[in-house]
Amino acid sequence: MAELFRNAGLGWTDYVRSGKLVVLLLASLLFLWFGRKHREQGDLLRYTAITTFCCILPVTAVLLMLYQTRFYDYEWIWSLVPLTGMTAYGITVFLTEYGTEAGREKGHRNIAVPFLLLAAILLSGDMGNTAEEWDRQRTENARAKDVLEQLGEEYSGGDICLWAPREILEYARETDGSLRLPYGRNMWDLSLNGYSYDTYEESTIRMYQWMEWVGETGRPDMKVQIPEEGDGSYEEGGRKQTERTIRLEDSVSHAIEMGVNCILISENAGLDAVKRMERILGVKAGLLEGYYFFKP
Amino acid sequence: MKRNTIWDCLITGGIVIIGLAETVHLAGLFGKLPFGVCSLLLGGLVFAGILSGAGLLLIRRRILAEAFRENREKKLPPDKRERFLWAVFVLLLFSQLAFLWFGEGSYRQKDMTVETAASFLASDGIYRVNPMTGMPFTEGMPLRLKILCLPTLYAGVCRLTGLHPDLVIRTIVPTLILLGCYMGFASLAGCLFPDKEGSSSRDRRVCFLTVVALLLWVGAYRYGMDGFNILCCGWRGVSIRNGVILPWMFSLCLRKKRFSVILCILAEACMVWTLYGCGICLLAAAGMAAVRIFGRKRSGTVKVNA
Repeated sequence: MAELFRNAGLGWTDYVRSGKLVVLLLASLLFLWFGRKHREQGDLLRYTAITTFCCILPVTAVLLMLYQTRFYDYEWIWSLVPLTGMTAYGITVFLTEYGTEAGREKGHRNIAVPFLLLAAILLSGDMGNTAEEWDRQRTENARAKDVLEQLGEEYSGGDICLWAPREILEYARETDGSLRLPYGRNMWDLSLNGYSYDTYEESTIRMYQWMEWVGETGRPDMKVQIPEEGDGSYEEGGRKQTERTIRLEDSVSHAIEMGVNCILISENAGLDAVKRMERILGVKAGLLEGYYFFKP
Repeated sequence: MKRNTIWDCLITGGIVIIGLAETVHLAGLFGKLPFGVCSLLLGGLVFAGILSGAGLLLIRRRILAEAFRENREKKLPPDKRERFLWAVFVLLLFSQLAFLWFGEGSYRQKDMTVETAASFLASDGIYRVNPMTGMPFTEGMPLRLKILCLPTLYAGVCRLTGLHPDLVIRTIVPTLILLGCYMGFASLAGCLFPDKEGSSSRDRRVCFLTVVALLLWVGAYRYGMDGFNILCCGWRGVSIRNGVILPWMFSLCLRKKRFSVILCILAEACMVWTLYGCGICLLAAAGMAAVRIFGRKRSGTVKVNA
């Protein structure tokens, strides 16, 4: 429960930090409630005000989070609030009353109103901030597509169980349902674990860590801190840790045990790693669009 | 405004398709049917549904014709301001469509619909393998999630049309959902700005839709916002609920169309992981009803006191 309260508190802070559409909604509600003589659509107005208040107040926010099941994060309780509809309604009414001929007849100045409102709307959000991320995704996908096309030719319709860096695995499973993987996107996108009861063995997690490690550092052996098994005693700051080396041979052997018949590693991997791979698999490495390719 | 509009008919048609997909999905899941059979069944049922809908419209064509004639008689040519608003709205709509088709802006995190549809097609069955890996499940998956029908609907479309799941799910479906979203908001606009005697509110409705279009663009900044849901992950159940069903449902609540509200609640239960079917639609409908009853009682009390 304490965690839910913390999530509700942090959720609200986070919700208003990245954009200000909620502020625009509140301004709309204030205008519709107090800024006019005649209050139309009273039911929807009252409903929106109550639900907005419930989403902001931590106690009611927690209750709503419990109602919507813990599968969803804080932001989804805002589904209850007709945020876009009510904000647009407030803006439309405001424009009609202050920004038109009718408004001018009533003595209101109308020239600047639409421009000021447009500026307020544009400043409430943040369009196009993720363009760099999309560009990166596009480049990665184009590369992964080339790799998979070449693999398709290499295996000519046969069964493939692929072990590769995550950008390849991510694309492979989305584009070809017949490809099998030792681990999927839920290894790094942990929110996906809510969709299934399946979990990965520790050795499979090490396989993933090793694959990313060799791509980043080029070194074939990875040192990891592993919590000690045994009496369960805790040292200051957490459980006792021991350092262990995950060797290339350990990861590759586990992959073969899992039925992997196609391995790709980043070309950043050093010559030492490639030679050891060739030795343990008994095959020569090929080069494929920036990856070393092994067909055990 | 008690009469059904064209938007009501189209959104109801969409919900009926979701209902049919749910039926096929459950039959395939629990009857362990091959996916080829499921998609044929889905195609047949949707085709029959479209024929029935068209038949119903033909039977009631006189009512439709009268409605159109009435509309034409009422219709005044748009003034300069309205034409300008239409132009801005169309521009925004086309920019959003261009973003969906060429923008590469789909948000893949926290979602595995494409993998799930691809695994249905590859394994020729529903949830026979883990969509993440293509390997058999070791522990399985939650039943509440397993019974949601959207992956079957999308994979069925892929099987029947031969299109790739990535194209169907990340481009075609979001395009339809974006259009559905504007249908939902057009319905809401009709309730918020009804025509008054002697004057049309059409210009205000167009203004409302234009502001909605702008807010969707601006609201694309964050996961969970309406704009983001529609423009970056329009295929998800929560996006369909928030973008299409909820705006329409609010318009239904304002028009007191209870049967269609129930359809919305059921549609959400078929698409979104809810608390045993009790989702946002149910809570929102209950909230609207409570507000109305409370408001009526209060106004009654005030009258008595007065």
